[in-house]
Amino acid sequence: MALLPGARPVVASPRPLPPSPVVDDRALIASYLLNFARFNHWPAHAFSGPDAELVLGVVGNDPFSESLDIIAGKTVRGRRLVVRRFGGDDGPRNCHILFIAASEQYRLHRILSEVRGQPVLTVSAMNDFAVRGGMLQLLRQKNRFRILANREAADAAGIHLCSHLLEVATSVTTPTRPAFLK
Amino acid sequence: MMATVTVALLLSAATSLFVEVREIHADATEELTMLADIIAQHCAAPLAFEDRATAEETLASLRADPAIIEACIHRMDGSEFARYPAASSIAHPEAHAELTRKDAPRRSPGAACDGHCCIVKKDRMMLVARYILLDNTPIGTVHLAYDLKRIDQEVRHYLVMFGGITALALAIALLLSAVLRRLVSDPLQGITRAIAGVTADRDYSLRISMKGADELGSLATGFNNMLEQIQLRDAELSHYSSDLEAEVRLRTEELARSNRDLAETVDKLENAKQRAEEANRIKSEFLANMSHEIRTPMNGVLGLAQLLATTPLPSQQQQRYVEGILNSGRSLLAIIDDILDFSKLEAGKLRTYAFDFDLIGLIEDVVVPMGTQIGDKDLELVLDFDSDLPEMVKGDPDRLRQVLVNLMGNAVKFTDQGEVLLRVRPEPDHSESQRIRFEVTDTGPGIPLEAQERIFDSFTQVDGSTTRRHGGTGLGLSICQKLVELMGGTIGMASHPGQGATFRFSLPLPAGSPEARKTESGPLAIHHGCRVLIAVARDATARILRTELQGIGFDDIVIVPVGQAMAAIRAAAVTPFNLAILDLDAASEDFLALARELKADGATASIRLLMLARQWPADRTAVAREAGVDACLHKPVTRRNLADAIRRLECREETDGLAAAGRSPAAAPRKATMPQGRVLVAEDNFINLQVAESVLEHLGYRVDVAADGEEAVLACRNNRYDLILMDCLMPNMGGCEATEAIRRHERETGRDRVPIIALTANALEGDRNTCLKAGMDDYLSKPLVIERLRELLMRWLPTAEEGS
Repeated sequence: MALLPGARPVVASPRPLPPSPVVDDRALIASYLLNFARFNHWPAHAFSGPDAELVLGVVGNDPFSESLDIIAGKTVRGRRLVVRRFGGDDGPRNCHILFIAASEQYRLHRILSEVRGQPVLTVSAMNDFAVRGGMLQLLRQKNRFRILANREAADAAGIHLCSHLLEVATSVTTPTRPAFLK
Repeated sequence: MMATVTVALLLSAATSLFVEVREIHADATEELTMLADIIAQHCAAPLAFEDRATAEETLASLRADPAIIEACIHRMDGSEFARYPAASSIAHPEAHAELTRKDAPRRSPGAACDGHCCIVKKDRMMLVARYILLDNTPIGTVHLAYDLKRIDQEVRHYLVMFGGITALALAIALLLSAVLRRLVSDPLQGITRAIAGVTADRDYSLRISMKGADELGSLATGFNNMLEQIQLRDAELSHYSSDLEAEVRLRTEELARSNRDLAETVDKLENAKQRAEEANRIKSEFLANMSHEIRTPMNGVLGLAQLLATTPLPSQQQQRYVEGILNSGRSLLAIIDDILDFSKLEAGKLRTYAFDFDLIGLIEDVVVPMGTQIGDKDLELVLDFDSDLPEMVKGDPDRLRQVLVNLMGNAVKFTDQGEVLLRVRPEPDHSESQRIRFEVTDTGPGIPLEAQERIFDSFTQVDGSTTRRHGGTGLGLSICQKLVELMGGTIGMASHPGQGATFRFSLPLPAGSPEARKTESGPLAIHHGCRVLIAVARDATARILRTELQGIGFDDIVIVPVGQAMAAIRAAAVTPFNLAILDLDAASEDFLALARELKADGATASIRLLMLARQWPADRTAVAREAGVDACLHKPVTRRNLADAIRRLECREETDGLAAAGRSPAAAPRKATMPQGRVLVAEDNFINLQVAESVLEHLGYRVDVAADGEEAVLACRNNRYDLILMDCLMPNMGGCEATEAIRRHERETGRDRVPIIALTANALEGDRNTCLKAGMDDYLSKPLVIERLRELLMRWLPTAEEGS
């Protein structure tokens, strides 16, 4: 069980977000985004170098306000996590995780096609996201979010979804559409 | 034996049991830790994404192991996330508490923790807690409780099994032992009892009554044989030992007797040694005392003979007789001094002292009077001082003087022609403690090789004929050697027969404090630009003259061989010499005629003429002055007398001009230059008093006499004196004490400091420096010798020179 070579002292480790009695969705999603970064594996060519940052991009009307500041700057597999916000009409998005705000649901197809083929993990809380070709969809359920994972989409982008993540996630596949809709 | 077997069996059983139990426990621990790891890994994702159902499903798989009674997953804030079995509440939170303690290093007893996992044993339960990690970050904890009762059961099984096996083994062992005892142990015990009996009672007549064909039977037979042998030996030994005791007694008595004899002999020898040492000491003391006693009348004889010699004697024969008395007396005195010193050295009574003294001054004091010992031999004394020589050194000046007098005296005595060179320089290779090397080199006959080895031995002389020719005790060099060694130095010699000899010694003489040095009587003028001509017989002398003149400040010095002086002076007419130093003893050129010629010629009349000679009797001085010589100088040339002569020349020039001083002194009436000074002589010895008085009066001084120190002090208060001669040992008040009183009086009344000369006995040379410290200025050895006294007066009362 070579889980933790050179583990840091427990006391000094950054603690995950404490859940408040009234659950703040934004904070919860922020912590999910961080955990996605931790569970998944990007191919080596996704990064320019061993010290390159892991970029979390947010596109659309930012729903988080300051909540993402809590996870920005944390270290994931030795890489610093940075948050970058993109306007709706920006060109190619140079990031590793792309959170797509609900405001973009009408432009989703274009956004997804822009990052297709690139190792970008797409996440969103919008309805039918996974079915429409997004990789991880967060689905509100009481006080937590269920995870819907589109493994095909991830595999197509070269992102390896961790088996532990898949254990807790519900798999979704993109339905085969009639050819005329494609 | 049986006990041993039992203990061994039980021990091995216990050890196996212990090891087994430990292994069971270790296995359980490992199993549990692994289980916790697996659960932590599987629950990371459910915990991260709040999927309790998945987590509880994972925990439910623990059902497979009935020993696990509790499992639980917590979030990092401590709230419960999932639990097994689902119904119960958590009953054993110790390991979890231990893991999440903030003060990590302080652990409860029984808890084994690393950074991520914690194991606690409690109430027959093993509790394990570990962090659930995601990307190395703890996101929660998993907690397991394991019931050890199941293990205990296992252990009980083992215990029963081991107990059965051990009991069986013991039973078998007992059976075997009973059989063996009858065969082996019983006969062996019989032998052991017999041995014990023999050992305890020393009864070697005992025998073992056991027969048998086996090994034990032969052992018993062998043992019996051995006892028989021992019995025999015992009898023999007791026989010998009684003999031996008698022998030892006898020898001990003999030893004691010879010990007593030896002790007596040692006592006798000790006594004899003490007597011998005592006798030797008494002899040395007697010798010292006798020498001292002989000296006193000798002083009288010599003093009176000197006085007699100064009176007009009617016949030449009488004059020769007086000379003879003086010479014989001086030789005798020298011999007595040698014996005195030698006996003191032998008696270990001679001590050395350490004072600051003027090294060059001392050497000059030693060497200058020796000029008079040369007589009419063609011999020159040359002093060669190294320029690095310290002026003040710390050591024993009197002992150094004695050694120098002896070596120089020998060199002068044995060398008929040539030169005697005294070279003094610091030893180059002694940096920490400065040593100074003295070398006396002569051009005498040298010392035969076979005599060189024992030259420093007592009573040794080169051969019988020299003894007869030169006299002496043969103690001089031996004394020198002992004195040099006493001062921590070394002495040696080198000689090639026919080519002279070199005696050298080296003494530790550290540099003294400069303030102790007597100040010179005024600085010399600057001589830059002065041209000096030197024409002397010996190269060594010329070299020394040049060195010393350069030291004074002259820089333009020309040395020419004797015989070319006139030519050199004539040749230098354009830039004439200011000073010419000429050697009157040189036979090849008549310098007196030259002086007359120079002074008669207006062009050369301004040249100062400094004439060197070994001796300057009054008539010779007069002739020189008449010829136009400006200053006369005794050989050997020393730094001090050369500087004095130069200073006198300068003074003369300043006061009355050269011509008057140069031409008139011989014509001047004697009475006119006779000093009108007044001298006090404090001396309790009648003869010395008479010598001093007559010499002083002869020189034209008024002489007052004091019989002891008190009288001297009193006389000083009432009268003013130009000089005081002060004996050191006087009744009532000694010379030093009196000097201190006089100096005190001078300070109180603001009077001028009167020179006080100590009169010291040779035997008390160590006191000389005490005298100087007491405030005296110089010293004079007794017996008083007229020549020495005159020299001293010349030094302290310069007007006396005119009178001689």
